[in-house]
Amino acid sequence: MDLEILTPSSVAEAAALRAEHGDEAKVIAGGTALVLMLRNRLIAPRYLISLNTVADPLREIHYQPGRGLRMGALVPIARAERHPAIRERYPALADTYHQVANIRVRWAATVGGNCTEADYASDPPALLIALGARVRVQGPTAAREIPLEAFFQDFYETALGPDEVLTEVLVPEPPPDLRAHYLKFVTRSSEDRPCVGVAVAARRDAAGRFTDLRVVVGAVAGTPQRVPEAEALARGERPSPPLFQAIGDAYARAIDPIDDIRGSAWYRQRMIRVLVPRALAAVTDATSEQRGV
Amino acid sequence: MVLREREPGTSAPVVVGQALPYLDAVERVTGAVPYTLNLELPGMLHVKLLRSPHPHARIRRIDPSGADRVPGVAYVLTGPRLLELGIGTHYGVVIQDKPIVAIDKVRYVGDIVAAVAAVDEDTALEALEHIAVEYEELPAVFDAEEALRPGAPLLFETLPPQRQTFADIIVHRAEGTNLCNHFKLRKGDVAQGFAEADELFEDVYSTPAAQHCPLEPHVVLAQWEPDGRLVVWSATQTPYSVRADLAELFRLPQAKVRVLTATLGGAYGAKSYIHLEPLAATLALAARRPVKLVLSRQEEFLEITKHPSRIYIRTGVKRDGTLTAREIRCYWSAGAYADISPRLIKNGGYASPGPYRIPHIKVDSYGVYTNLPPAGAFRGYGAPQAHWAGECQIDDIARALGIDPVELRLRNLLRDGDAFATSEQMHDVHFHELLREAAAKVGWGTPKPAPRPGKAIGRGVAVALKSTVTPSTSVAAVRVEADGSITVLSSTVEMGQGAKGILAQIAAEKFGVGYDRVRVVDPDTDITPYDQSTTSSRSTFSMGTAVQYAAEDACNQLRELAAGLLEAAPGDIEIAGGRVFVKGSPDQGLPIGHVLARTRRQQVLGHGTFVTEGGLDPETGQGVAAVHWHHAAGAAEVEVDLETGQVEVLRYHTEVYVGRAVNPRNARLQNEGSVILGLGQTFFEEMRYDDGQLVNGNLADYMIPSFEDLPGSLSSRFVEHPSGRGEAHGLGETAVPPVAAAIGNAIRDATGVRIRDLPLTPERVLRALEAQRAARPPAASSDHQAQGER
Repeated sequence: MDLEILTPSSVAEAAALRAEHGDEAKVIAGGTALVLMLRNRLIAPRYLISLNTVADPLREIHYQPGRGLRMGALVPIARAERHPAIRERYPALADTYHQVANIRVRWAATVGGNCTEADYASDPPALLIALGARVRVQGPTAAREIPLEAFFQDFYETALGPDEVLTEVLVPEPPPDLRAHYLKFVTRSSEDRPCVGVAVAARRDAAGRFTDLRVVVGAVAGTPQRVPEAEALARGERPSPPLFQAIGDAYARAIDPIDDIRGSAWYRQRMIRVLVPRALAAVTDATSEQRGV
Repeated sequence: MVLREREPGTSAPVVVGQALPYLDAVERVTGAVPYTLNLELPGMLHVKLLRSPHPHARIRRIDPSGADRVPGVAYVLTGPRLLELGIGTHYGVVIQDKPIVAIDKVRYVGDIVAAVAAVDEDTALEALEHIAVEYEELPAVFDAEEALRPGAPLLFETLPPQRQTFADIIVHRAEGTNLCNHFKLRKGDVAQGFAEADELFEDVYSTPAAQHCPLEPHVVLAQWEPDGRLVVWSATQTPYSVRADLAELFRLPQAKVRVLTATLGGAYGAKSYIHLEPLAATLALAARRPVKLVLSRQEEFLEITKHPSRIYIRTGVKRDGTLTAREIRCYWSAGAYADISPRLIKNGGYASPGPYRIPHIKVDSYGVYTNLPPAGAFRGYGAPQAHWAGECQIDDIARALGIDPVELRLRNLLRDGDAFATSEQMHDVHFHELLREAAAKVGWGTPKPAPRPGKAIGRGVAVALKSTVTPSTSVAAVRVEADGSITVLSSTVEMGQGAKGILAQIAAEKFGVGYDRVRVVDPDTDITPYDQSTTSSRSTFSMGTAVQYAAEDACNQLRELAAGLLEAAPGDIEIAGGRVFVKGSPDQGLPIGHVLARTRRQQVLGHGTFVTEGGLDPETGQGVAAVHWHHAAGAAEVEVDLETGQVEVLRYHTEVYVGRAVNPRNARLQNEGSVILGLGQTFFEEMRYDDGQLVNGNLADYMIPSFEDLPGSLSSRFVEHPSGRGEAHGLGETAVPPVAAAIGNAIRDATGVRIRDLPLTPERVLRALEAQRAARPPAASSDHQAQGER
């Protein structure tokens, strides 16, 4: 097996190499997922397009009040989790990144790779979707932005074109009344991937009534799951256990979960019913009120 | 030269009982330990293996010619080629059932079909794709009990040869069956015991296959010397056993086989006895070049596993809690090759009645061939599976009789002088103290903390005993060098357990020198004397005693030499602080080195041999199973999430009997490590197969515990003999066996549900809770189920 490492000097060049080699090439960033797949012989590309030689600023984190957060694709997850602006303005995101795998993986894995891998059993995507995140992708000539919700298409499949490279993860400025929370549920070691992950982003008015609610359930299907009819149940309502349970029940009814080594479909269905209300309770809990997003 | 700072205090004279750092702590932390994995030989070839995709198949045809033609390939070994080499073709520590590469059949998914030695790994990998194999698939069997039924697919049409490797192993097999070994224990008359009982309890418990996951995989380098000697560097726990088996295979005198072992990057039993050494040596012989064979992580899962078990256990008890009889059938899936199963199923078998006074016991323990990866030694050696069954059932018996589970155990636990299941008289046992202390540490008998909403808190205990291999032999040599420093020659393998430090400490004490004045040589069968194995928690006791004898021998020689110099009788001479002096005049003696210089001896070589005796009757299992018994109690407090089934361990405490702790710091680490390993196997470790195909053979899909998984509080205590001069027990395994049952019993206490299959995943707990809710109204934690409802 001859594997050639290609070292483009710009994102445009990397995109052109993707276009040139098609399915025979894979883009490598941190490599935590890709190298496992190579070792397990799940993939056998002829070329690896390394982004490490790219001169474009893919390792930067920018936060601008009012304009939101931009994380370069090559930012290690561990750096995002520690970044002062992310901890300050997006604490739920920092928490979620902190819960990924273990510290060694987090220093190698990147925020961009985490999205393009599109592993169904991953923590950050559910929360990023709840926060309305987008990704910026660049082709040989043009760049575009894709909402993450539309980016994930199926197990390990994304909307990334065959000649495009993901360059940035963009998270909008959180409205002052937004509260978010990610609940990771593992069934084995704490370093495991989630059996179920529930991300919640909620806005409430001065009277405590929900004005907007997003609930995204990860690791239960090919892509993170939202059930808008269930989210709508919260509109104009105050937090209450019966409301949360109704939303949880609606999610459990709407999602047809998968079976894997971390839990059967039977179990996941029950866990959605249990964990969605718990995540909703956490996001509206008075003690987390000061925490912001 | 690199100068390194060591922990302070290691140059002062050390004594047994002192808490010292690991002898190689600095090397470990700086990554400087020279593991076998890092060894390279000039001109060596690299090996890759072709493995069977079928659980059971006949090899119709194998054509390696395509691989032969790949540039860089030195040699391709197949079954037909193996038969032409004129060496032994099959090996196995007890039963010679494993071919070096498959000859006529493959017996599990992953069985080795061919091996390629090439200039590098990539070339070898590429060559594998050019070996053509035609298989004829055969029916396969994956469950030990099913494999014993008449008409089950046979792994071996005729019984493979067997030899008496170790005195304690008795083999009962039957032609035309998959039985690998049947151990029988008969004490008293169980029919009478059950007739005397007021209540009978009958249950079935199971455990799955698990994987050792040592950080360093199996690795072997082999080289043939021009004079026909074979040299093997192997990451093995048993260099002498490997040497004996290689000598037999290659028809060499043992003196012409040299096995060297460096520090292992973990083993946990996975590296005991012969594994890949014959394959590496065969390739080196055929290719006429040294070879290096390293298993990948995926291959580690296929090399050796923990025995899946199913245990049927029936217990008779009087209303006052007195146990009258236990009848037990254990089925152990040995996988495709015997490895050490013939012994392990015996030890698991006699452990299964538990550490109780029971007048009537019958045990039938069956090791059975199945079409799965071979099973072998794994920290605890059958005792974890056995006590999972016995200790959960004891708890249910106590609850059914309305007796406190700790109290019921205390009424039946073995005391000094009592007869064990093997009828051997127990000595130096401390179960009552261990159990009382363990229970107290989790607040037994005091009110439980209030659970959070939707949760339930419970407490559980378990006791366990484990033998150490008996009879056994360890030989050591201790050299006193010209400057008075000490070299310990021992074939005990350092594998992270700290054995080198323990042996150094024992030797240093005899001469009154510092830890840093002692070197312990790595096993090299050309140099270091015989040791049976680094297994069975035996090194501290067996090799420790041999080293002590050898050091005493050396000291006696020094006394003889010094007698003339000091004008005193040898019996009046003392050795302390690295000096030799006449009793009562420590200031007027000589440094040890001066004695050697002035007598022109330069070096003194002391010798020590330690042999233990014992053995069981082949038909009744009666006799002496262990020279001393490792024993432990574990206690857990858990909080169960009643909606998710997730169990959080709030506290876990383990109590072990150690006799005398050579190094208390090391002892504590062994206990904690044992519990952490036990927690992984309790809660989530499980190798899962789909028609014999392993589906989670990597460390992403198979989880082991991380430090984040530790209980809220994890504590341990070791109990020493009150005389201060107890026998030093090894602690490699002692704390493992109680873990699962203590947790299972705590879950039972919290929720009323009894789960009899490991691991205790949240899903399994939730299913049990839902079944309980469906069957009847929620049970209080103190309910006592009558037998009829069970």
